[in-house]
Amino acid sequence: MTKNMKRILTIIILLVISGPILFSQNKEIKNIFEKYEKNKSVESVYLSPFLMAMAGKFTNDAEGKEWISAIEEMRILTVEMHGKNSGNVELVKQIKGEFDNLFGRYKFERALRVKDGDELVEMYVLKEDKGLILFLNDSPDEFSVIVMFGSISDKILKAVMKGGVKFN
Amino acid sequence: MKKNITKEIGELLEKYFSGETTLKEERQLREYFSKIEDDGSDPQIRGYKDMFGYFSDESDKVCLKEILLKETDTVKAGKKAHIIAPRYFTWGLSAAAILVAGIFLFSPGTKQTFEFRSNGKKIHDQTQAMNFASEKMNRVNKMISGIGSNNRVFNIITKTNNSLAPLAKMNKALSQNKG
Repeated sequence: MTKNMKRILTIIILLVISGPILFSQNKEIKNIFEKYEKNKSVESVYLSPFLMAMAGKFTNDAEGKEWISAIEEMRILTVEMHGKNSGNVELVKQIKGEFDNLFGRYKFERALRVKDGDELVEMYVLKEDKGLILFLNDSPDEFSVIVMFGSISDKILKAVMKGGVKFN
Repeated sequence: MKKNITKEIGELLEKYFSGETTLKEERQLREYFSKIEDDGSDPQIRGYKDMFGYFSDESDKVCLKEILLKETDTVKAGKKAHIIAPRYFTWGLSAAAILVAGIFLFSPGTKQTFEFRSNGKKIHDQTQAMNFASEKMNRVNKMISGIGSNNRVFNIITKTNNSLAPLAKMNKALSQNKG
């Protein structure tokens, strides 16, 4: 094997090993969405990087432009639990379990937790170049997961991080 | 050309964003937006002009590249056919190998601009998809705004609200075109 061939092989092996590690948390979240979105009790939406980039062209508002340029992709998943859908409690437990498992394995920061009566909103952040902001909205009538993938910089999160928002 | 988007073009845009247009229809959209006037008063005209202008430029670049490559090949065939040094050839091969490996590893696959599913079925309606996204986001914003006395939290609410504002504007533009 020549020296150059060894180099090529090393680069390819490094790519194979490091690629999945670099983006695995985002990939895992997308996998959760893909696993549940075909379920009849679930409503979901995926907004592509192309659509998000296009949306930036439709606004003259500087602040809106700044935010939208940082967010590359958005996904929402909702399970309704009222009326005839009351049997979906188990499904919600299962989805929550998937996310709890993720939060335990990656460096997510819980940036916010708001409880109002029976309703709870939690905001999780993975502050990286290919990071994300994730909202879990849990109430007796529905459960939603909202994820925004993108470049989560200090600037975007300044409002939350500055002064340290108290989490309960 | 007058600056209003016709009903026919509105319908084509709807098809385009659902990923259902033919190549001929996409060409029709590019031609339409290359000719339409933009006086800067309507951001949707500017948005579409930028978008279809970009695609048109890129396809021109591809054509130009093809012509240049053909010309280079002709010149090489007449003069120096084996001018590439083996060292560059090896590095060229490694670059190609890395590129191919990268495409296989990181390619997310072809996806539509949006995908909305309800009851396990795909719904090809961008307005409905956007309304759904907006409704869910507003619900979260409403919850967070319940603790609005905290100024620091208020800042993030404003930001997240703004995050959907450009999408709402684009959606509004598409809905108007529909009618």
